[in-house]
Amino acid sequence: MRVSDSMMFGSVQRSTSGAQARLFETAARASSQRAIDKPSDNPTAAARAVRIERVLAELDSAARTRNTVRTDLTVAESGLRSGIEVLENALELSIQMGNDSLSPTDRRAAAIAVDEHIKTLRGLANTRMEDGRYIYGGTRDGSEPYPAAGGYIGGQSSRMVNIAPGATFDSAVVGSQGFGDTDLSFKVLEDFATALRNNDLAGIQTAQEAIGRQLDATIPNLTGLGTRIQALDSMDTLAANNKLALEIQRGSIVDGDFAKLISDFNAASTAMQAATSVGKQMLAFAFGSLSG
Amino acid sequence: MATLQEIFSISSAGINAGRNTASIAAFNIVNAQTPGFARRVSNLQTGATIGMGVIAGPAQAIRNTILARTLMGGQSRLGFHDAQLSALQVAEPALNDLDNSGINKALTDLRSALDILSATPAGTAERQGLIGAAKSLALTFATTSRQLTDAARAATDEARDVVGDINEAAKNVATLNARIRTNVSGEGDLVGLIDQRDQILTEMSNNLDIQVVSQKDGSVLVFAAGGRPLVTGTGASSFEVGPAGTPGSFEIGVTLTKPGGAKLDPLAPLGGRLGGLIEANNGVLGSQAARLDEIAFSFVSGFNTQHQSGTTPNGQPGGTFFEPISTVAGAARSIVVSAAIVADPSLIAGAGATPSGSTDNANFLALADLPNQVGVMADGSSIVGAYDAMVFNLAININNSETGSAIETASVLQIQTLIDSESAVNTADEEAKLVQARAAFDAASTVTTTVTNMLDTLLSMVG
Repeated sequence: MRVSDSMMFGSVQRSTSGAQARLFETAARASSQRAIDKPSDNPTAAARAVRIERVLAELDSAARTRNTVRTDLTVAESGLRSGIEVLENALELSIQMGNDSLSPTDRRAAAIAVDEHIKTLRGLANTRMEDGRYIYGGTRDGSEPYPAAGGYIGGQSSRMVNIAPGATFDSAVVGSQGFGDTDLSFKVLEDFATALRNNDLAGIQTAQEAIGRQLDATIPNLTGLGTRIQALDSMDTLAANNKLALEIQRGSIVDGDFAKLISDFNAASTAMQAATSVGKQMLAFAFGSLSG
Repeated sequence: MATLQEIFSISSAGINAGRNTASIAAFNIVNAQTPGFARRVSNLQTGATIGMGVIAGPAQAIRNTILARTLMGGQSRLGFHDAQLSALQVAEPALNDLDNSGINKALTDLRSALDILSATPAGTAERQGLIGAAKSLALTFATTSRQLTDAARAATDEARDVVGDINEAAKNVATLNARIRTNVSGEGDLVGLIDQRDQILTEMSNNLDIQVVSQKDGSVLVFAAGGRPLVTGTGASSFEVGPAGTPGSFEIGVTLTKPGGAKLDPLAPLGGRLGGLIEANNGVLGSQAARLDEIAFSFVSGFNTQHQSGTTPNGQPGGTFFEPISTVAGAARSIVVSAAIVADPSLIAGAGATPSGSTDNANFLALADLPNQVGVMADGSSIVGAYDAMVFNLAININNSETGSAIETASVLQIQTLIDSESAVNTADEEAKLVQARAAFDAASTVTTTVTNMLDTLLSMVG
């Protein structure tokens, strides 16, 4: 093949500009440490990376939701535990007050203590969160679920929230999961106080049995709340594992292998030097005779 | 045996041939880097009788018409891919979610705000957070739409510039045709004029797919757009870029006006940079901007419908969350959070249609899931799915253009190398020719001097 000046110039120009472009690209990749900067770098991988990013964002959002729900359930569990202690104290008192040796005066004094228990229990059952919600109010948590007027007026429905992509969880604590969906806990204590005031031993005995039954009915709720908190904790572990796997996957798609990036950069740098050197020599050979 | 007179004549022709060869070599050397220059070779011919001297005819240019036409085809395809690539690359940052910005991020943030509200439905700060996320989404849609529209506009402006270049080149080819016709039988600068015209045609082929037909009188006919006449002898048609498609769309098209004023529509894709720009604009950028409007419209409609099916904490049915948008066109720039909701966040309807209480969150969950819900878009896809497909479509188009450009660059390079191998100048060759011509010139001069001396001697002997 006949070789013309423009072929030699063109060849030198192309090899140096090509090496320069490659050097620039590898330098940019090495400094950003990313294998993909824009969708056109690898459309399929970029689409996957964005989908992973979306799931990661959902996981973060779900983690925040889990924390909110966990706080609610922890407060509810703590309140219920205290409430159970109140009932246990009342039960103990009922056993003491059933003793024949005690005087009516003693029982009237005990009735005052029971009144305090009722107040404490009602306060616990109407526990509010920092944002004003009544924790045992279910989906009707804007007002006291156990009003002094009696009854339970909180919501009975569940309130589902997303605790992981595709996983929902009931965040509401309704009466049946707390102090009951009636005001029986207060009623048994009120009956107990009345029996004490009336020095009614039979009534005290009845109240004692009723308090015992109420305790039996309430204690499983504590377990229920604890189980729900545990479920959230388990989900934390699962979500953390899932997040880690996704981050590794995203990293394998988007992030560059630093060692490879540096190696590519060094190779491009060497190629650039070689292209420049060969180009100089080619031009010197080709045009040396004219200039000389 | 030649006479002294004949020897004198032969040496004189030799001097002339040497001068001619040296002149052509010098001409080639000084034009070695002139774009489109085809090297000249001296055209030495036998005189009346072989052995009776050489005649230096007009210099010949070394050209390969087949390769030149092949190069034009390659240039046209390269121009198409390059122009399309640069036009599409302008739009890519608008849809690049890998930098954790853009519509995907804004949709994710909105979902996150709704998830937070689903856990604390009555939270005032959380409601403000949702309004903030919705405003941010609206702004992101508007910005993305503007970026896509700007990219489409830039492609249109570029197409107009390219058309200006094509029209100018067509006029120049027509002018050169006229000059070549008048020079075709004479010497003049015919070879240079042909070089000049070929160079213009090669450059024009990068802008437009052209077919060139040579005529006996030396002129060429140039056709484009599926056989439409661009240059007919000494007359040139002109292209014009204008809006096409449905009114208000981003589509552009071209019309060709013949020298007589008749207007013609293209019969086939234009090819070249012009074709690439029109394809990028009509096939990708315009449709991307329109698709973004469809996504925005469907999202706002779907979100409002879902919001209206909910109930506020006060037990009232939900109103529109976003100000309603009446038309698809321009929807991406028209998203505005309802003024009533901004003024009173308690109007956000997070509870279901039949709320179980003031902090029922059924509608918040439904709203959070809306972007992923299949069937929200008119074509049955989801908002997120439609947006993902849009991004993928742009990326694939850029990818295809990159691949096409790389293939055609290599192809054009190979053809250009073949052309250069035949037609371009090698200064070392020309230098050798100069040396050769000088030697021939010196030898012929010596012959002339010798013959002159011999004649002088003869004359003195006679005298």
